[in-house]
Amino acid sequence: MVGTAAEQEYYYGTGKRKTSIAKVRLYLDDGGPTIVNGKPVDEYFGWRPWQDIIQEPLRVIEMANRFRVMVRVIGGGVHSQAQAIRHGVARALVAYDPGLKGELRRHGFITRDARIKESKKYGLKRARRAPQYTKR
Amino acid sequence: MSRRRRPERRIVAPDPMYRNVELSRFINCVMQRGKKTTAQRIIYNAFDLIRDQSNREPLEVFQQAMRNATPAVEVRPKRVGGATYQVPTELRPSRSEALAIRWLIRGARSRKGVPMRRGLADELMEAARGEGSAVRRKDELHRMAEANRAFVHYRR
Repeated sequence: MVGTAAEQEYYYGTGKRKTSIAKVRLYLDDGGPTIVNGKPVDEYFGWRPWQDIIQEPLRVIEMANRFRVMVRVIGGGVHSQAQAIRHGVARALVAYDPGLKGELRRHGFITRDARIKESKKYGLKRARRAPQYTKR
Repeated sequence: MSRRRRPERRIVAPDPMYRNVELSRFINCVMQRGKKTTAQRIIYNAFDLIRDQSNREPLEVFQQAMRNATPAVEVRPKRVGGATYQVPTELRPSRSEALAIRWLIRGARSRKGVPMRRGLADELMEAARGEGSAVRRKDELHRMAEANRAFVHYRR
């Protein structure tokens, strides 16, 4: 999808992981700092491995310096937010060039990780944990 | 363990900082209750301590430590006609790596009163020099294997 905001064109992708939702915009630009929720990445994600997760899709297709990444991310914890952004970046890249899909899929960036917290059941202590059995 | 089929060996993704699979397995063994981020923090902080203290590349210190703590043989008990013999057996690479990881971590955890990053850093640096409890354990095992050399023919 190609959208326009404030006279500039961008490619959009929504990424999700657990309860995190990331709305990712890729502006065609010479790199430029990645902005997450109005803050630079290294401020929003104060730990290298998390920042690296976001850059992974751009790294594998070697186009990091062709886009400026702008993200709005809500919900979930830090790690799942980072992974949601990675998912969103990958999808936005597919919107830019569908030919990249195969390469991105090989690294598993296209697949929405469907594992979410399993809900607790009545009659059980947790999702699967049954109360201890007593014979009588 | 499943009795039906052999468990398949999992492939783990390389660790985020050094892209090293061996280190990744080590991190997974440090992890408790699924807290991988915490485990990674402990390791990388320990690596920073190693860098400050020894002026060597931490990954190299780690790999040297692993080499020094990795056993080549172990003894397995085997019952033959009432008597139990300690039979020396050669190890698969995966088994000896697992033992080395286990011993290094156990050595670090047994250092009471210091944070895990400190204990790990010390344990790894000592092991890299060929000292420390993990290396002692390996030597002990090798000695037992040597002492029970007479029973090698029982190995299956």
